Amino acid sequence: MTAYGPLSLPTPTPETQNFWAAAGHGELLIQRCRTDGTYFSYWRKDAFCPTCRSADVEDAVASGHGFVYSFVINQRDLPGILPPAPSVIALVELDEGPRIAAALSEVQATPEGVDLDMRVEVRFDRRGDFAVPYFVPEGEK
Amino acid sequence: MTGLHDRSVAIVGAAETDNVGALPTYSALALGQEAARNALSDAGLDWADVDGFATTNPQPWEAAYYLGIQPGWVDGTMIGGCSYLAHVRHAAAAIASGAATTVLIVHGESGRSQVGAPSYGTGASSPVGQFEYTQGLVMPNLVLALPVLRFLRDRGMSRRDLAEVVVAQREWAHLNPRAFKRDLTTVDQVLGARPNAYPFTSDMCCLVTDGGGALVLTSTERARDLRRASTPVVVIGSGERTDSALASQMPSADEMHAVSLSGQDAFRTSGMTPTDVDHLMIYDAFASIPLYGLENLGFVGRGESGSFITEGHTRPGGSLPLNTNGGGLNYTHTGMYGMFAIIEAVRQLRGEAAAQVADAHTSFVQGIGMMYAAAASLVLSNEL
Repeated sequence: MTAYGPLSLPTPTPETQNFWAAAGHGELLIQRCRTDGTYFSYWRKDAFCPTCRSADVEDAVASGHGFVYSFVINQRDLPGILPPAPSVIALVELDEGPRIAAALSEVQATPEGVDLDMRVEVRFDRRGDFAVPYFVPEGEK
Repeated sequence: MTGLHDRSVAIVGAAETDNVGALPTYSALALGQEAARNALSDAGLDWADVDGFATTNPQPWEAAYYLGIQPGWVDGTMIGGCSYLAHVRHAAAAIASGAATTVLIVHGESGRSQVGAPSYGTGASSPVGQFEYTQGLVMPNLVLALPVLRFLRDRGMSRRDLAEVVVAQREWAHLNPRAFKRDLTTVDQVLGARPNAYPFTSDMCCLVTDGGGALVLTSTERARDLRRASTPVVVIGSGERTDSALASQMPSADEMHAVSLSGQDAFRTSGMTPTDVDHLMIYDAFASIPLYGLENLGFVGRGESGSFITEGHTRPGGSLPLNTNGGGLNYTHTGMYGMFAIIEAVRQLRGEAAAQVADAHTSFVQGIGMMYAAAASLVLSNEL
């Protein structure tokens, strides 16, 4: 635990236990509305669809693929969270629709090193008892 | 029965700390105390006249005791930097309904020196803690920069449009002796500044300063009896909305949704439209926010915010003076800047601003708070 800074590890709550448990198995969990098919990425104990407010929703394993919707280049070293600065944090739009903010690795952390719309896929960073999602360019080993 | 927005409630006191900037001999509480004293003096009122009190952090009980008051109406609404706009709205409702007669709203923050500065970080178990801190989104510059490249590209705009925001506002700061950054600048200078959360450079990020500000509100009827030179400024419209703080939950990179909604509420309640506004303040924690504000509030169409600023409409002499104190980018930014945006609007409507705008009768003030989580808006007027 001591290798990780105070902000690097999540403190799961009842609504996010499934998400973090799935991440530990290498699965990116989102939720799906069984009424209108909307996928979403905000966790509630009594979950409901953000579009139609139906409570008939289920956990769903995302494909883990998507594209870079937007990104920022971070200039600060954040040990245990990101590689040494500069580093990239992206807003990834998953193929199912929801967006997720996550580190983007295996790219040059320069304005030219990342393209908007670039295809990416999820990986998981082991941090003690947790696994935290990040993304790499699609097809990256 | 008087109403919240029918010009029956006035801002009669508005003042800042004697200085803003680097003030290491003041705690956050002391900054609030000096601002409160100055605002009461400005209003021609005394501590004994105050029966309503609003503040954020330090908490209202601590701040009220520090000031030596035990108000009968307390508002501790803490929704980040726009809290004080919400306080004005709440105070106006309290005064209009008779719950309070004279409300003091106080901000003091030792953002730069961190003297007696309370923490307002979000916990590790919150959604932000679990899904943003763990990804390195630990500072406002990163979180608010995140959608900006998409916002710009979808409009055919570029980082030059961000830089123009800074250049335009520096022209206002150049006219303001209290501004932290006063030297005129250029797009190339702003783009060449130190990288900070690309697409931002350090010049596109707000200052971090110490300071405070305070407001005194009472009924317009009572304001007429006060022995004071300044024009009362009346509240004619307002709004406040919340949203998720998470960047991932934005409807799209086009919109800060709470800003759109609180702005619509303020226009609706005031009966005004953007063309009626003479003077505009948009909380500019970063250079992107005025672009969002101009578009999301309907002052310009989608994609027109950059050219609107580049063409000079928001600069001295322009048709829509924007962030006329220099803004959080150039004037001062203690952390929760909304108080300073309100005070600048009051100064403009009183005709007392450092960079005074001619014929300003209606001012629109837009605040944001806790990243995307909150927004509040005010429409103020000097026509009673």
